[in-house]
Amino acid sequence: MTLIRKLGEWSKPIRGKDYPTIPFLILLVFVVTGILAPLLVLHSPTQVSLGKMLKPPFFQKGGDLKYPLGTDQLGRDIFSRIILGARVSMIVAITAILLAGTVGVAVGLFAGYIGRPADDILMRLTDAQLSVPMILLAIVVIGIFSPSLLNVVVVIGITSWPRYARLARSEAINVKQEDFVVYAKVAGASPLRIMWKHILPNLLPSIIVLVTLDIPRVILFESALSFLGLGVPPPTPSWGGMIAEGRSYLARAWWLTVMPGIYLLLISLSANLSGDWLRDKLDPSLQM
Amino acid sequence: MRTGVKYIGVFMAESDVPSIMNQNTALSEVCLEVKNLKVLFHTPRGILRAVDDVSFTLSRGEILGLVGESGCGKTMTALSIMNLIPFPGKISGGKVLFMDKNLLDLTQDEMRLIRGQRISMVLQDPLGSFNPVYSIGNQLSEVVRKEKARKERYGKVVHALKQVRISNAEDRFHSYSFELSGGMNQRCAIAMALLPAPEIIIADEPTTALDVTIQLQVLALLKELNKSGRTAMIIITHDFGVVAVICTKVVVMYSGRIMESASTFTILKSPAHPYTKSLLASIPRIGGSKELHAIPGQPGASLDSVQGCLFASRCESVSPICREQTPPMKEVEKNHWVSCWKIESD
Repeated sequence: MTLIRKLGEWSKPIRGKDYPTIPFLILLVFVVTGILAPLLVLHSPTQVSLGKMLKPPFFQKGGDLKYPLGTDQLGRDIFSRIILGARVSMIVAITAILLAGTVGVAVGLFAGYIGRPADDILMRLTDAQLSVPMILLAIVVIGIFSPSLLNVVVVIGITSWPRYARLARSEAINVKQEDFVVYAKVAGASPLRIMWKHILPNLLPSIIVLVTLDIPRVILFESALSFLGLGVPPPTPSWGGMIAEGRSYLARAWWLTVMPGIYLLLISLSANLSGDWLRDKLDPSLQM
Repeated sequence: MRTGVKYIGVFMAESDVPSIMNQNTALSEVCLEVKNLKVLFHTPRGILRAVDDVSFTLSRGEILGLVGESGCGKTMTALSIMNLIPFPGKISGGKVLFMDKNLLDLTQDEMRLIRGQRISMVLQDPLGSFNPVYSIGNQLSEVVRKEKARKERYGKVVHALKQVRISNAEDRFHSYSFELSGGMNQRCAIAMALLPAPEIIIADEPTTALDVTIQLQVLALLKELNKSGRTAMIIITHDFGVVAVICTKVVVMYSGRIMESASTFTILKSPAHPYTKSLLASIPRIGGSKELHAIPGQPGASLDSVQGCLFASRCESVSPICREQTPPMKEVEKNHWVSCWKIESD
């Protein structure tokens, strides 16, 4: 009980600062490792070294500080693979969300502002997209075109845009009823100009919050795809892939699965907590 | 009718009376003429007559009060002058003559030159008048975007802000709407309407969302601007207090139709239509009776099928003919028009 409350404390500001420092720090480290990945690896993450396979993490008996988190079944350093996997996750998350966000917000903004009949058509399109199970779509698409980074990004983008569309649409409907939109019309602004200059900036707070909350979801989805063999193809390390491969060795070499799992947990949790804080911060009901 | 006389002392200064009396005889050019305007809404339940055969004129320097309860078509009338009626409404008849040109005949591009430039609007909600994302100076500058030089635009905007009595206008240029109070926001909205030096300003319930002391300030400001710039104004309101303070003439609307129109002084001194009389009687007065005088029933626009005088169902002086035939507009005194069967019989 207190542990849960303690975890909740993490999302609150730490003394002196009015933002949640620990999640931010973790996310910062994540981004930096993603960018500098090749420089931070201790050993080549793809170098196979069968003599060193299944070494335990350094704090366990038989462990080696040279391979701090242990090695996998092919002797590859787990730590280095996790670092590189972070880069893969980051690229996938940013690109997929950019794709889904741009398409989704455009659709939602248009539907919300223009109204019927465009609204009806676009929303039915959104419903259609939502009714297709994500994993099924992934299996079909990636089955037809072989697994690759691009295909993973595309699939995640295709399955994610509806949530942006829905949010953008409901916010657009609210904003368009404000008087300044009428003033803009009176001043002679075209619908496109109004949507771009007046409505869109007012949607951004909600969209930004959705993005922060979507990042962990996307990383998890990518991991799920890798788990199923549909993700980024080997030998490129990916957290989901590592977790999947480690399944068979769970009994004797738990670190194969657990180490990437811990990182996945940390990043998801930090992103979620940051998103929560951001949502409170951007709440329009608090002035200034 | 002597009912109105008591209100003159409450709302208007005695000294205002002579100038208002002379308003009708002053040499003033007509700048806006609304003739038999009709706005219909095609709804699944039938055709709704939001504006039904409305006619009035507005001359330079006049302030017209468009009065009525909620839903009587005042805002729709104003929107149709700007040709901004939202779907599913349609302007289905009549003319809106601005400087002898029918605005309803103009193309959207032609209308864009008039809307916001020669006829501008001030709306009700002060806090929603400005986009919170941009500074008010930024938004005011959009109105004078024809001016290419940034310094010129800044100068014009600051001048307009000073005209509406915003202190520290140079700093306020960079403020955001949520940093300003409701009264200041509304004054900035008035500045926005003033900037292009329009011939007509249409104010839709400009003071309804403000508290009473600020109301008076804003109204005084509008009156002053009208006097100095000879800008004609249409003030839409449901509050006769507002009318008495600044309007020179009044049009009373009910359910999309005009019931009575006259100068403010005449309406307050000798209201002829039962609806107007009831509206004036509904104003609570200090020292008056404890019971509030109310008009029974609900206001609103009427469906096509209703016959006769639209106020018949709520009128105190109703008679059988009221329900059968629509009374014509009759001039009972000079420039005092009423649509009521009771006047005929008096």
